[in-house]
Amino acid sequence: MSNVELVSIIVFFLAFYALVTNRNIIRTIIFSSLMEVSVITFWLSIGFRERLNPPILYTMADYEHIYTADPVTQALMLTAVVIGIAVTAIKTIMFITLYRKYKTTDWDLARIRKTEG
Amino acid sequence: MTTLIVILWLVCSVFVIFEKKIVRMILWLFLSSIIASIIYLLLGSPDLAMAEATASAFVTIIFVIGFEKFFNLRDMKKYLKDEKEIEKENKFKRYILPAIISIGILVLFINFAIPVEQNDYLKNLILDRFTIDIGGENAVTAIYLGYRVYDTIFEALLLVIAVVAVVHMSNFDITKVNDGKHSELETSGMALFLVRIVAPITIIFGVYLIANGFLSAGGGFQGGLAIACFFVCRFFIYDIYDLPIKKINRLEDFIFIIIVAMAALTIFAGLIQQVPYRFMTLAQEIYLFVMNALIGIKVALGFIILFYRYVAIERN
Amino acid sequence: MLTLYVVSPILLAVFMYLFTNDKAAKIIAILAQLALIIASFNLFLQARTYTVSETVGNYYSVTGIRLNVDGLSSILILLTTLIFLTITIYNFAEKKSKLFWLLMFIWEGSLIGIFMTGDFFNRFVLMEVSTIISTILIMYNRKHRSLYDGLYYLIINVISVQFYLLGVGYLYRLTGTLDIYEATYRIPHIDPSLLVLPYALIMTFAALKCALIPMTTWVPKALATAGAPPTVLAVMSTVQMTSGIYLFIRMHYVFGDFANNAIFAFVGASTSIVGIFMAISQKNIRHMLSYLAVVQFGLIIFGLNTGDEYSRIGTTYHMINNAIAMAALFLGTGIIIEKYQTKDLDKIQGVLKSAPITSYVLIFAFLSIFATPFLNGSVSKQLIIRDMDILGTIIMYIISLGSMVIFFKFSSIFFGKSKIEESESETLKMEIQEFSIIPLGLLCILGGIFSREAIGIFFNAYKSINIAENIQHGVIFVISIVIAFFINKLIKKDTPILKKLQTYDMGIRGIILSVGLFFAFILLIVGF
Repeated sequence: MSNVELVSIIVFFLAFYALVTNRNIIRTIIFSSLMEVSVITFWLSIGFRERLNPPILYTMADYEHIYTADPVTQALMLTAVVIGIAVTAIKTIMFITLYRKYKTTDWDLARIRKTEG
Repeated sequence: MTTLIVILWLVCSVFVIFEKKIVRMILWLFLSSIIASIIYLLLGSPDLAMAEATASAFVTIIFVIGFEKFFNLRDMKKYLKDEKEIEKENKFKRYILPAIISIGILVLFINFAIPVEQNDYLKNLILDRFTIDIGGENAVTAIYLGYRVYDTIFEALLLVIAVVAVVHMSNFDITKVNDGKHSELETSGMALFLVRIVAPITIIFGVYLIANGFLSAGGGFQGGLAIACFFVCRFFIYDIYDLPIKKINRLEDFIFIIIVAMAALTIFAGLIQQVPYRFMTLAQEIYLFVMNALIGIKVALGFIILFYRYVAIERN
Repeated sequence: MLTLYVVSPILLAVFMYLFTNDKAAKIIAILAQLALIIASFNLFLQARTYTVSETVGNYYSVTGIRLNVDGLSSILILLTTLIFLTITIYNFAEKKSKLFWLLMFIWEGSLIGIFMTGDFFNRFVLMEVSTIISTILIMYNRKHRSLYDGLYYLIINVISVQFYLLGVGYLYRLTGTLDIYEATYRIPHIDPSLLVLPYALIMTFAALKCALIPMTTWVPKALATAGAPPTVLAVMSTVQMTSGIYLFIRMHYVFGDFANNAIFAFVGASTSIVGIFMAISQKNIRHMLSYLAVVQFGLIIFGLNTGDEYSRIGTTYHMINNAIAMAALFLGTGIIIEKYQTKDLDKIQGVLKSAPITSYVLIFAFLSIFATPFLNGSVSKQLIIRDMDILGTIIMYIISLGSMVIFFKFSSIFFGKSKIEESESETLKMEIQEFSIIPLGLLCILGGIFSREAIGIFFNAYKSINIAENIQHGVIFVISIVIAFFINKLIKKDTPILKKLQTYDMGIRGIILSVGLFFAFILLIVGF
């Protein structure tokens, strides 16, 4: 297992642990953003070799494409990055509106205030 | 060398998780994303490195504007007082049990993740054919504007929906926002000087990325974000909310028309293959350039609207 | 051109955004939906005999994104267009903002896209789009909106879709392709010990989408939140959750022989049984309906993983009937809630007199959910029951019994004296709404009476059932109704257990931990 893949899985589960432990909504948003970065790093480590050239025509060195990076994963992860930003923006705005209404940043307190109010 | 930077990224992520103050957590997250972007560069993907760097910059800006209230220590004390309202949870149940479970799942995961060589079928197929099928010289642009353009339309649509959602959820009837607290940037001469140099470079770089996306590393999305960053810099220089809000909201309709144009273009993209051979390269390059430009304009407009909306919410 | 089915709702959405609340625009929308239904019916007729397949952009098939429409997908696309036509008519007289129509039609486009796509990553993108749109729409009413519910739903979906992405990453590395059919051909040649991890990752996400135990708590938050207009709930509970089951079916098909059916049969059965207890203890009619949805989807997963080919077809038919019935239920209760201005079960009385059409549609929808000999659930249940062993049959009867108890509890709203007076201005709007759900009720009855023919038409599968079994099932059915009636009378509302179940809520930390535990559970069972 290559280094990049191992570390990205470790970061994924670190973010998972942090999501289970924290009661603050802001931290939940930040850690889910970290989880997305780790998944993107995992995808890029799929065809890992020591020296990889970008898949652009004048840097592609060989015809067998062994030392060229995989363009498919890069294109897919571009989409994933865009989706990540959009989702983070929506979560942040939802949190801001939630704070204005319930005046708390805690998950359990928000639930209690929702059932009361 | 890759190993060193990867370990640096791991250390940074650990700091993100175990940090107590939120402002520092956001900065550690930003640093971690920048180090991840350098990792992507070392793994041979300059497109994605640029995208991740600009995207994490924008996300940090959104976090800083959105969570500005919660940086201060006074508010932390208020938060701690709130937490005492609920009954105190067992230290064991809250911290140690999830740690044991997470480590257990991690060990199981690594046990089953058997290293295997990547199956090169799709990669070789695309790298062999993309100059003939789609044109241009950048394989990544060829994929997301040519082979998988269906995904790109939905991703563009998703950005528009995010912008529309933010506007809808923060729907105060704002026609004019008063001058907020002036940031320290306006008074600091050195900061102003640097931002005045950086901002025009940003916009030129953004336009270059969009225009050259199909020939070398770059693309519509990265360029669009860079242009949006120019407007953020402009805001830092002047700090006056002078762009009229109604006109900005009108921009949303413009974005929809762009989406429709993109969808129509992609449906007719298959027709490019019917063009006579002499004009084929020209037709392909025009198509790639126009699609990149549309995506770039749409992304830039969307993020500008998003940014100004956030500032408007914070000023109220 | 298959992409037109996806792109035309999006174009319609942009059109409605620019001209809304014009009566003419709404009529154009209804006509467009009718055209879409006719087009998807045409597609269904084509897809019965062969799989309609097209690569977007006409490139060489594996390099591009392939769209595949076979029998099951075409029926689900027809279902989607039918439900959207119903809600377009339902909202004809109501004033909704531009955002509502824009988001609804884009949602329709993305849902049709999910049923059509033949590519792993494209499915991810479309599922993200539909998740975000549904999050915004369930918080649509500004007065009653509940941000906690919306944030909870969004975060749990976004976090578990990262599991799906990891799984697809492993699968891409092993098979070298992102196309679903191509992966299906290549997976049998791969060493099974390599397939454990992608299977566990992808199935964890599929289980969350189908609301299996222990990840059910997002369903009452999403479906019973106060800020959601009933049309949104109708689409969400039917098409969106059916797309979760569709994902489950496709992923099990991809993994072929490697897929483990026994775990999911067990998990599905336990979901249903727990869901029955949660549903009985609720006081709010929307909460009851959302737990009823959980029970039914658990039953469908149970039925899909037991028995042979023909019982699977029966369960798939039950899934479609369940979708139509759920749409009718949510829309009907929307009318009632608007009339009575309350959601509490005890306060609503006398619906049979004050809204007769709605109450009959509701009764028929409920009857089609649990097996009645004349309505559409029953013959498919008989098909399911026939090929399983005794334990499976007993579980099916228990779940049906539970559904009947829920129905009797719900039906207390029909009797008694109603305490409201009607105002003239509301009546036209409500008449249009009631008119719009009549076709759904009719489909429930017709689907039941002619269910054997319907299964033949839809799935090209014929099997004759002898009269003795029919009589046996009829007798059991009548006995179950009587037992259910008495159980309902026996349950007192204020038992402490029921009160505890009513307010039970797993926080966000709990549900994320359950996702991780479920993943570990599948990994352990499949790996060893």
